[in-house]
Amino acid sequence: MIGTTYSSRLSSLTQAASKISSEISTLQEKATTGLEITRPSDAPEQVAYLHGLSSQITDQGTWSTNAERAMNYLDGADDALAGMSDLISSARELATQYASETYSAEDRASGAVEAQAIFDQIVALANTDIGGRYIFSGNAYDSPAYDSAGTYLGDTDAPTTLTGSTQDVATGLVGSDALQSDTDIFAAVGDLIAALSADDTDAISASIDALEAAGEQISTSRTAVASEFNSAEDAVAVSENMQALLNEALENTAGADMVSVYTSLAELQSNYEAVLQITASSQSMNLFSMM
Amino acid sequence: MSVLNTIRIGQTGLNAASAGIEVTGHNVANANTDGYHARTLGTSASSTVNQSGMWFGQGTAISEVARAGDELVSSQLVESQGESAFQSSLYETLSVVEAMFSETDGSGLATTLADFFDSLEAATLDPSDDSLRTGVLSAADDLAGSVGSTYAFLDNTAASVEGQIEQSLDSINEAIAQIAALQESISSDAASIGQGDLLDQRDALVSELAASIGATVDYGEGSEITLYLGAHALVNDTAARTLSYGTDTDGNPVISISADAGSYEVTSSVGGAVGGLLASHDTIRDVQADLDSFAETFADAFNAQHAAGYDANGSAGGAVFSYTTGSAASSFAVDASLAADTDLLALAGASTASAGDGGNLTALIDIQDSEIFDSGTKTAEDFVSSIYTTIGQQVASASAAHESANATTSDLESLYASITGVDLDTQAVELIQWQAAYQAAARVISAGDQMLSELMDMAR
Repeated sequence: MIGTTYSSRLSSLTQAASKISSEISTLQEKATTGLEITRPSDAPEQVAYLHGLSSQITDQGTWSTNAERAMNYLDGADDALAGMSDLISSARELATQYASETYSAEDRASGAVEAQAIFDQIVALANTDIGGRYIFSGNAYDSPAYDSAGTYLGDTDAPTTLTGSTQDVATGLVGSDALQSDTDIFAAVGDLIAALSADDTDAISASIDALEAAGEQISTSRTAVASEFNSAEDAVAVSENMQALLNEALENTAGADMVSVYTSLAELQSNYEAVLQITASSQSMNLFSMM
Repeated sequence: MSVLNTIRIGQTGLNAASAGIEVTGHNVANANTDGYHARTLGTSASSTVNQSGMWFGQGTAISEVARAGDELVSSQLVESQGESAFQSSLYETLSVVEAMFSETDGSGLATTLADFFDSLEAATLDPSDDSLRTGVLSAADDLAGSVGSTYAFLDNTAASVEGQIEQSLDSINEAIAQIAALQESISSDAASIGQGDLLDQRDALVSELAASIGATVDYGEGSEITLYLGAHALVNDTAARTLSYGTDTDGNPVISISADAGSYEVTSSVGGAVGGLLASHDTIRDVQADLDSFAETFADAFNAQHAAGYDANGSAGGAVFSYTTGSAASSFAVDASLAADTDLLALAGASTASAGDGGNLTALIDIQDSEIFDSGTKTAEDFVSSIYTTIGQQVASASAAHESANATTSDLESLYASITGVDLDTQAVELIQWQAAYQAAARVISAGDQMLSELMDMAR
C-alpha cells in the first residue's frame, strides 16, 4: 500500500519551509539593496548592458567635471580679455588725446609713460594664470605666454579636454591667435608708445585705427571664448541629463520593484508561518496518539 | 486429531502473533531511521496431516520477514540522487565563483576597467598634471590588482575544489568496500531475519555513492547488485574496485578506477557531487584562461600604443603593464619603473611636447573602443562583460537544473518513502491486529487446555 509516512511528510514540510526561507532571504536582499539584479546569474543577458550603463555613467561624470573645469579656465580667459579690452580703450583714448596739437612734447612723453603702463598691464593680463596654468600659453600652459616685450612664448596648439566620447572643449587659448592674429594688440600699443615718445602726432593719429582694430581682435577672441564656454556649458548640461537618464535606465533594469518585493515578502512570511503550524500540528496526527 | 495438537496449533498462532508484534515494534522503533525499510511478517499455513482420511491443518508458520522495496523506483531514485548532487555541487561552487563578479564593492574587473579609462579621460584636462597622472597609474594598478586578485581567488577556489575531490575519494572508496563487505554478509546470511538490516545499510551506502559520485545500481538475482560508474562496475556483488585521484599534465584532477592490471581513467564518467566539483573546476579554469587572455591582449595593445607616445622627459614610452607569458593574469601588474615615476607616463604625441600635449593620451583612450579581443570582434569592456555573462549563464543554468533535479529527487524520495517507509497509522493497525491474533491464539490454547483437563477428569 502506498501512503505518506510521518517522516516523509515531515521531510516535505521541511523542504517547503526551507524553500520559502530561501525565497524570503532573496527578497530581503532585494529590499535591502533596492536591486533586482545583484549578481550576473540574476540576469546574464543584461550583464553587458548594465556594464555599459555603469561605464557610461562614470564617463558622463568625468566629462561633466572636465567641462566644468574648462568653464573655469574659459571664464578666467574672458575676464582677462575684458580687462585687455578696457586697457586698449584707455590706450585709444590716450592716442586720441595726444593726437591733438594742443599737447606739448613733454605731455606726450608723459603719455608714453602711461601707454607703457597700459602695455605692461596687458602683458600681465596675457600672462594670467589660474592655479599656475597660463591660459594664453596654448599647450605650453606651464609657463607664461609672453615676455615683458609682448613676445609670444607659448605653444601654437590650444589645450582641450574631453567632454564627450568625441567632443572636446578648449581649456585655454593660444595667445598668438587670440591676441595677435588679425591685429597684434601688443604691436598696436607698442606703436602708440613709440609715437608718443617720438612726439609724432601723425603716428599717434595712425595708432588710433590700429588700437581700434586691436579692440576688435579682443572682441573676436571673446566671442570665440564665449562660444567655447557655451559648448562647455552644454556639455555639462548634456552630461547631467545623460547621467539622469542612464541612472534611470540602470534603475529600470537592475532596480527592484519595491511594492512587489514587500508584497511578496509579506505573502511568503504568511506561508512560512502556515508551514510551521502544519508541521507542529502534524506531530500529533497519528493513530498511536489517539489509542 | 488430538487435543494436544489443538494446543500446538494455538502455540503456532501465539508464536506468529508474538513475532508480528515484534516486527511492528521494530518498525515503530525505526520510524525515523534513515534508510530503514518497513518490514512485514509473512506467515503461511503449516502443512496439513491426514488423519483417518481427513486433512487437518497444523497451524501457522512464519515464512519471512519481508522488507518493503521497489527496485525500479530505487534505481531511478539512485540515478536522480546522483544528478541532484551533481547540480547542487556545481551550483554551490559556481555561486562562490560568481561572488567575485558581483561588482557590489566597486573593485571588480568591469568597474576597475571602466575606472581606468575614466582616469585617462580625466587626464585630458591636463596631461602634465602630476595628480592626474598619478590617478592614471593608480587606476592602472587597481585594474591589474583586480585581474590578479580575481585570478588568485579562482586559483584558491580551484585548489579547494581539488582538495574536496581528493578527500571525497577516501570516503567513497570506504563506502565501496563496505558495500562489497555487506554483500558478502548478505549472501552468506540469506535466510537470516537480520538480512533486512544489512540490506538497509547497503542501500544507504548505495544512495551515498550515488550522491557523491553518481554511481548507478543494477539489481540482480536475489540480493545481488552491481554498482556502476558510467559503464564501469564499481561493485559487482562482492567484488569491489577503488578510485584514485591524480592530475593531468595541466594540473587538472583526474580520477582513475583500479583494474585487474593497472587502472584506467574514468573522470568523464564521474557524476554526483564530485562530478559537480569536476565540472565547476573546468569552468574555473576556463575563466582563468579568459583572464590570462584579457591580461595579455590588453597589456600588449596598451603597451604598444604607450610606446608610440612620449613621456614627460621626452623619451619614448616604455611598458605600462607587465606580465609573464603563460601566467599573464597572475603576474599582471603596472610596470615597476612606471609605478615609481609618473613622468614616465607617455601621454604626449611628440618628444618636444608642451605640457598640454595629450596626443598619445587620446590614442590610449581610443583603445577603449578598439575591438582587440576575440579576433577583433570585441572591445575590452565587451570581453570582460562576456566573462561575467558566461559565469552568470552557467550559475543560472546550474540553479535551474539544481532546482529541477532536487524536485525530481524529492518526488522520487517521497514515492520511495511511501513504499518503504514506516507509516505509524499502519503500524498501529498492525499492532491491534497482532494483539487480537495473540489473544485468539491464547484462547485456542486455553480451550485446548480445558478440553484436556476434562478428558483427564473423565479418565480418573
